[in-house]
Amino acid sequence: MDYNSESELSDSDKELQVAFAEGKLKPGLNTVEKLPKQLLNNVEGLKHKLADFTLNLPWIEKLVCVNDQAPLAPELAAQMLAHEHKRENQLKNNKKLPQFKPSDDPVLNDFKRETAFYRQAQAAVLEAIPKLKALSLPITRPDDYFAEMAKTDAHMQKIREHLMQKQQQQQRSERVKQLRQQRKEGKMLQLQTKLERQQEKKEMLDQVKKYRKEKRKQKDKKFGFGGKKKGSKINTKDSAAEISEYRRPHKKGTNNHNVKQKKNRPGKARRLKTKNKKH
Amino acid sequence: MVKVKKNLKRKRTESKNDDITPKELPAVRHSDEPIEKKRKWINKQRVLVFASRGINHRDRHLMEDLKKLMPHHKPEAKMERSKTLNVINEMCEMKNCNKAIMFEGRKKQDLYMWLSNIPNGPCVKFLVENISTMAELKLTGNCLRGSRPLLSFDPTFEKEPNYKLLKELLTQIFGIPKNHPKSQPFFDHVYTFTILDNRIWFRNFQILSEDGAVAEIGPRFVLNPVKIFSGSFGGVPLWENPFYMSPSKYRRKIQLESKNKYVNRLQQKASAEATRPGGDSYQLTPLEDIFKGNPLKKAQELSKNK
Repeated sequence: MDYNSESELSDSDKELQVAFAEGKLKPGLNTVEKLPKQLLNNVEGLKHKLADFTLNLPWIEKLVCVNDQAPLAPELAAQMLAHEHKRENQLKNNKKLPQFKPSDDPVLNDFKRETAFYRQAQAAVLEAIPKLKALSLPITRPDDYFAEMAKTDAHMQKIREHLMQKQQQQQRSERVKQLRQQRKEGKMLQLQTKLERQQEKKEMLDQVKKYRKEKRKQKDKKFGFGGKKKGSKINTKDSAAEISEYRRPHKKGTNNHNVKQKKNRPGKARRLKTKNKKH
Repeated sequence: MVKVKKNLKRKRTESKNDDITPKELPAVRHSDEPIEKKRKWINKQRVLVFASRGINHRDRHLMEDLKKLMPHHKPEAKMERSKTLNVINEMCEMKNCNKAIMFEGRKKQDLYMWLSNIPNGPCVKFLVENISTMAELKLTGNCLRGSRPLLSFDPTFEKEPNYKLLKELLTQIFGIPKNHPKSQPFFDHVYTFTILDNRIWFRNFQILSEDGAVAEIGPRFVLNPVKIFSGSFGGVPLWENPFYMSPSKYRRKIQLESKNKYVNRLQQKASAEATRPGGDSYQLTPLEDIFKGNPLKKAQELSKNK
């Protein structure tokens, strides 16, 4: 049994060796790699067929232009930039959306691709119209030329309505945004005025306090405030010795205006006499 | 009774010279001599546009849009699936068409488009992706029904032989012949064919002004080429797209990936549960509090416990 398994092993080893020699084995692979399917590309056949069915007609019969994209118009570039910013904001503000790098963002890439097609069409127009003019062919339809259009008038009306609706929606959202901003600003202003008023009030109160304190100080200075009152009126040694307020006593007999002048009151007889004279 | 129309007029012969510049007329002409009929409609392309049974509504609308834009088309009833593609050559011959567009729906969701040059080929099979019809409201342009489109091709169409062949075939089918009786003499739209991501992207723009302002009319679609055959609806295959993957295969791949996603998630959960840290993992050093408090008492306690 042991022998058997060994032989099997050696068999597969041989196979592997052969496969390795043929270059079908690569490091890291433990199975024989399948060669890629041979794909058809019959270049000669393609060229032959093309030559076979190509129509050699003047340009005006075919109207074919092979052209690259037209140079990016500034307004288109601005639009592209605006779109990019919008997209960035959208992703930043809504974390639930799958987050993309700007280079891998499918929405942005959609927009870029469509602008590429748009520019290619522009380039074609810029190339073909001078050629048509050189052939003196009419390009634009005159206003009085009526013909059936690819889209009906009813459908175009629908498109117009849709555009209008979109525009209105945009306007509305813009207005709401504006209002929101205004409200925000109003609130800020309110808060500011409130703070200002508080500050003013505080300042005024401070001034009043200051004024009162000043007055109190003056009064205290004048009338005294605090300290020991008992015995403050008793003479001390100094006050007793103080003689600055001393005045000598008034001498008698000197005409002093301090002494009241004696009113001469006549005697009774004289008083009666004068009394009688008056009558 | 059948009235026999009398042929009163003499038949006009077609002039053989193609140049448009008028020649000097002879000085004397007889009044009853018919004038030479000017040969104007040179590029006589007629395209049979039809579908096989089993296409969905959007694809049908796309076909209708193309018919609206192509005055040189001829309609045909839906083809039964049981018929082989070779029958189309006969159908075209009966309808006097030298080009054909055939839409083939699969599983009510995938659309293939065959473009063919009848009767000698070549013939191309495309997978049509990302279809938007002309009815979409975001496509705001409009054009005359039957005005000739300018055909704009990306420069990569000139680089490889397969793209060169496709370019010629697309021009012959989508370009409207000059002076086609149902066409209009003005130029008000452009078709752009662009190669991107190994596919051909088709767009239709209205020319708003001569300085290059355009607006999209629609329809939009992307043609993913599958194979080019040398004959019309048959013959030797000349080229095969190396990047092509059939839509059902692609869907299956996505499904498998999503399945793996589920399995992966389950495995991740299980492994997280298995390697989850235990109850007191926060107690990193169990004898950390040995030096807290009175060391002598602690020592005594420890020795007692022993």
